[in-house]
Amino acid sequence: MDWSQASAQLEREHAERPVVIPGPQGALFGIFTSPAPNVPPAGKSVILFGRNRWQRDRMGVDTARLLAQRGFSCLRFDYHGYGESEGPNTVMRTKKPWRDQAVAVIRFLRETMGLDRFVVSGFCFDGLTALSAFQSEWHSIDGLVFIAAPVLADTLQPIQFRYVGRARNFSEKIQVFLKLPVAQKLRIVEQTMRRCSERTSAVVRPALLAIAKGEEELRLSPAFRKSFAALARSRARALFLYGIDDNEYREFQVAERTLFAKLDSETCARLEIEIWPGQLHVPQATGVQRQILTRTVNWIETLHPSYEFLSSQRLSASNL
Amino acid sequence: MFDRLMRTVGRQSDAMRDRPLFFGSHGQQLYGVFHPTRKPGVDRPVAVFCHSVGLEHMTSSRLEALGARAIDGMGLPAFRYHARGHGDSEGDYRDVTFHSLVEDAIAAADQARRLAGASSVIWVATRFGSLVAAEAMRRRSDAVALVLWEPVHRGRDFFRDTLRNLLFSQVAQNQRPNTTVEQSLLLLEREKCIELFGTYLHLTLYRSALEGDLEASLSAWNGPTLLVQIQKRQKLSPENARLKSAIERHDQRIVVEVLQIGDEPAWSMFPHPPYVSDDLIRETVGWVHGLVSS
Repeated sequence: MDWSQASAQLEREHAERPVVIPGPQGALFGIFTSPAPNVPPAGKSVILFGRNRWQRDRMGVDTARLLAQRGFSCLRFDYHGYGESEGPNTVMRTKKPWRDQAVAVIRFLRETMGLDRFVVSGFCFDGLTALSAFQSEWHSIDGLVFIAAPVLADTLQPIQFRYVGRARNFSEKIQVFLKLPVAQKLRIVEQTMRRCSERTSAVVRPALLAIAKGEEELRLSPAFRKSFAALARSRARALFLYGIDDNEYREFQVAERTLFAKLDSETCARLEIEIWPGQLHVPQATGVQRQILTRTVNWIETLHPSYEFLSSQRLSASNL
Repeated sequence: MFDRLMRTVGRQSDAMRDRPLFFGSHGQQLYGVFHPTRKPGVDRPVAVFCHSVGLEHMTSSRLEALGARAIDGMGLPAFRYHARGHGDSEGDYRDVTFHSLVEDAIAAADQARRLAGASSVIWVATRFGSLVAAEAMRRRSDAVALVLWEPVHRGRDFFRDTLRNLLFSQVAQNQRPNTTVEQSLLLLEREKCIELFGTYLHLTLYRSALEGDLEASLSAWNGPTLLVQIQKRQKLSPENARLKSAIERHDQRIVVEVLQIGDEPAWSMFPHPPYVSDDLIRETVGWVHGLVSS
């Protein structure tokens, strides 16, 4: 796919308009791209979740403009605490996707623009947030693209570098600690113990429960299970995309063995799983990310009611 | 006053009043946000935020949004924009040159003045944006103050540092870098572009900005200046110290205010949650407020 600025794409740039969306913690800032007038409208609005809305070589921007060329309206926006949006800077936790923001955006599009069918798409945490929208909006979402997201409650992610960095300064911290007054020392010890116990229970409890009940399914994060159930009862199609070497894929295999295995054939047919060679969870690898977004755009296009007609038209144009 | 202001900034403030818009610059459509102040005065200067390039634009965007809102809350209008090939603006990043960045900064200043009804500009520039803002200021006569957030002093150093950081980050991820900075630059000359932290460095930008020099661009500047060093080091860096004395040499009455922030972000890596410094915003707003009041 040519990602450079084709003239049709430029036209879509001019069809963009900024939107300010009332969110649960203040205003969310986004850009709405209206569909090209010279192609049959898809009647669906694609919401591209990202941190922030032009992250990773502005691929969200390019994706919105390409999809708009193919008849889809698109919205990209900054989460609370990111880019221009209001709200506190919250650390994202894969176990708690930002469903309320996803739902606020869908309701805004419905109430102010009269749009009623949606497609949601996201990478990693953004994919989890996109999926979480099904919990409240399963009846209005037609498609989901879910890319390389971790799904377990006790994540298999490697130790993050910031923890290594913190540990590196450990001796320095001990020295500082020893110089503190006794009352402050006690307070720090108490806080540390409380934090340790909270974290241990958050990680160990679901695993122990799963072992005790003999149910591997319980290893999946409750948010993922709940959202997946909503996706299953919807009529939406979904694309789950992972790299075979992703740690996240090892997590997703638990979902394959448990949740997917229980689905009926009709639901199974709606939910596609695609496993690519190598790793997809490499946000810094621009080439891989471009390939993912090309696949995303092409897959979303299949949700267009006139997809067959449009693709045959494009094929004949390319043969000429 | 500032504590009260900081409590509202980034939380449930009245950002609904912000006016996101598109405006033109040399045939391209640029994205901008105008922050109309709630306390309009007679011909107050407008603060124009000039961002850095590539991934650094993303790292600093949150800081700039909060800074603009804080300035607006203090009673001055502010304007932020995305240069062409950046953020939500039109254009391809591969076509961006230092010249186009300066053109866009000038167009943004014009737009800001029009919207605010202001006759003068306070430039607030981040990192590479300092080179851009300084060059835009040199070509205009409406700047009344300059705020530099961790300025880049020379284009050449910026690119070398960015490439060096890339190598360091590979080491931090247990990878052995298979190239040196010199080899990366040779590769850039040959391939016209190299991959860099989830984005690219293009030869067009590299070549056009190589000779960018902050001190040279500010050689005629003798207005109030706030120089903010955002580094872990305790002392002022040699480049910042040199710039301070160079500006003060132009006019004996001018004192370059210096602010040091020790909480240094990795500019080339987008952190989650994004980098924010309440101290930086509070002190900047305080400085601008003092300036306008006096």
